[in-house]
Amino acid sequence: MARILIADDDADVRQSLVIALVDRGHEVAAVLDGHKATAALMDVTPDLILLDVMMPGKDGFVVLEELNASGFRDLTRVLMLTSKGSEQNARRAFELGADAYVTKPFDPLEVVKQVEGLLALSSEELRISRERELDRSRLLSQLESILGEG
Amino acid sequence: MKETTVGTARILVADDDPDLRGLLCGILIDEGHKVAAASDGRRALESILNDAPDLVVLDVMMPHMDGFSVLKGMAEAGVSNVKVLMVTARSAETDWAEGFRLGADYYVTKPFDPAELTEAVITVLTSTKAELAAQRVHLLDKAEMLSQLETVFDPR
Repeated sequence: MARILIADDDADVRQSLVIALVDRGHEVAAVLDGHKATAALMDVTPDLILLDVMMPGKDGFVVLEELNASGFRDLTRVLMLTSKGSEQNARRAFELGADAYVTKPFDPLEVVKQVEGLLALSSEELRISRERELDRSRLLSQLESILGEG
Repeated sequence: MKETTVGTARILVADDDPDLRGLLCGILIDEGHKVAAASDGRRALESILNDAPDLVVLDVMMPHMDGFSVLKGMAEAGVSNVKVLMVTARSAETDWAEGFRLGADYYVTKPFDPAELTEAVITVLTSTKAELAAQRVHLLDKAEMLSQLETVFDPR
């Protein structure tokens, strides 16, 4: 059982993730904007945050930067939720130190798998996986600009 | 009052109906609570004994162990600091009274709308156990009356 925070302004996304996560035995809380996400990260230091990029008030990247600066970064694993077809966002997420990302629309059960996979990694495994993902996202983001998408 | 955006309370939702469980969790999450869930009574009791939440939203009719048995299990284990909001079916008029006798603090009847649930949760969380107990005495009187009426109109 892990403590998980969802930060997303889309009620449908929140609902689908909440249901999938509580049914796997996790304790879940949610916030609807970036300001509250930062506050909640410091307040409850969840094991993992599902952090949407596009949120009103303060976007997910700013929240991640604030988390990095807070001294609490090591306590929480960060899985970012980005829109489909934006490799730039994925790249930026990894450059800012996100642990993983999923693109919307997604299957909540797949997200749960990813969440649990992420929580099972040791900090060393996590570091390696982050580096690999950063390399991959840089490559994909280059491809995206070459192909003129996004 | 400090404005808390999250972590207002830790709530366990115990309901075997996945739709209702999802609805309950969704409502409570959006109210800023930390929510966990159990799909039957046995798991609910395990979870309560393992890591006591502030509040349990407890369905009466569940497989393996019903809500009443969960209340009995809590009492036997000496759990006294966890509040219980019972979710009862409207057709079973006196279930909530039985719940009260076994230590539940408050109840909502199915079907309920989100506002009703929210209001009940706020009432339970902002009242002390003693205040809720005082209210219960009053409600139990009413239940006694209803139960008598039920026997009169629906003798089984």
